[in-house]
Amino acid sequence: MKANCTPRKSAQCMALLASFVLIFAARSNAQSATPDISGFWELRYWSRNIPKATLTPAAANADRQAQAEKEFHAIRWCNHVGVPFMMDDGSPIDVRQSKNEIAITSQSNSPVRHIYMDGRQHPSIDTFDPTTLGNSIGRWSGDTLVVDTMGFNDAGLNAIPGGGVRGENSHLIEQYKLSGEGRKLQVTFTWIDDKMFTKPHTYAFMYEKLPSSTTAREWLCDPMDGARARFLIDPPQPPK
Amino acid sequence: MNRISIELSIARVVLSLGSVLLAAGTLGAQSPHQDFSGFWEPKYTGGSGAFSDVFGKVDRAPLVPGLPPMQRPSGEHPAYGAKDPVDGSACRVLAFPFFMTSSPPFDILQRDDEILIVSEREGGSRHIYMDGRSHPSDVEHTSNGHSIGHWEGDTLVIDTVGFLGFAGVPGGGRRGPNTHLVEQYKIVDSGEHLTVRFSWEDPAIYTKPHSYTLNYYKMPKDTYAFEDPCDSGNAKEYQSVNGVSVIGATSVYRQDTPPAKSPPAPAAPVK
Repeated sequence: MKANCTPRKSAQCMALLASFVLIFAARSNAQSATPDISGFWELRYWSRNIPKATLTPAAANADRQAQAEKEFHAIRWCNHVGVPFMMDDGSPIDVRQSKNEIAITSQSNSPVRHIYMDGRQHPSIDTFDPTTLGNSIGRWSGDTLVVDTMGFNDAGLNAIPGGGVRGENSHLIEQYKLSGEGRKLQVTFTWIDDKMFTKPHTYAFMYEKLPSSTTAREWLCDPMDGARARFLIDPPQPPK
Repeated sequence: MNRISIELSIARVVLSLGSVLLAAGTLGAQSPHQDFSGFWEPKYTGGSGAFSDVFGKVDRAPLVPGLPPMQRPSGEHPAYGAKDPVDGSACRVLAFPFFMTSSPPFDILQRDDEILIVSEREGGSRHIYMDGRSHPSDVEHTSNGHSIGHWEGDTLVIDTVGFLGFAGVPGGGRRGPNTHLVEQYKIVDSGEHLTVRFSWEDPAIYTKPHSYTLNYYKMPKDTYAFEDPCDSGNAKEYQSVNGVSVIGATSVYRQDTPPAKSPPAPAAPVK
């Protein structure tokens, strides 16, 4: 269609052009923007959808007493708890999203999770020292953040919700998606480990957002705290 | 002003707004500030653990005369406040500013509303609130304190209060619950170096602000964080704290009481 912009109609023509620019700019911004999942997020009593994992025979027959003692040691001596425990430790997680990286901090005794968003691949498993958090890389698939983690060890609190434990053979894929006008964050966890599960084990958490004025707290785990040690070690006593 | 002129003016404003939005979208909404993001490390040319490269450049702290030696138990001194579990022994948290002088790098995540400085060492991460908030009047005292930041040109200025008591500061200084720290972060040498000017203020500890500058080197973009595990329940080097065994179920109880000269008898088993 040929524009018919005479001097008399110049204002209307400029307004038309401006509208096109405004619409194009808005669409351009909308397309380039990714959701911002930053904030403090906490789980509620209804926030866990955890089916029972389908374990391999070897995993199903694992020594439960040894696992219980291992977990007690990790708690008693303030070991790093690691993934997946830090994502559900009874206190809010703090997610901070920047251009090249997303950090997830918890108030339990865990280092910060680094999710690298700069397009890198996992480091070679031959040179990477396994950790309780593993090595995480992320990408956006539409409005969903997909995080791929490998390079785990079995240290800390390694029990997986629904059954099984984290170890060096574990591969975790997480999907983060906002809902409820940004007030809810659903994280779907899928663990893949052919020594642990007969099929990938998937469960989901739904976090609720806390106010933006929330302040990070510092949680010091002191293995020399006598009262803490006493509480953990001594069996609770009934009233005399 | 006639109707056409008014329409023309409105159209110009809309056109300008659209252009600005378009530019912002095209540039990825880049922050106007310096970008400190990435891993930074102090370099020790003397080898691992050779802290002379750092501490050799720090002037002695102008301490108030009469302060007790830092290593001596000093929980009652008003400058220190109560002792806190941040002395680094037995996997306790390593108090700030230790990780800023420790050899592992730290990672900076930068947002307009907050900057995170993440350590690999025990001690967690520093949250620098950039959203204009003030320090809370009832600040919760922590190892890293409560930090707020703002920009002065290309310099990031961080103001921190609310430290837990009793921790060392380079130059023979120390920090207490009332200590105030001002840091100035600046990128130099085309982004290859980060300089941080520290200035510690506390009339109970220093006769004047204790200031020094440390330099950090940018690490490659593919750097990833290590994990620094610490298990005081296993490691032999942590089996003794202040000469007191901490292995076992009962020995830790004595942390609430003065150190005994000889190890106490094990607690009787519960019947």
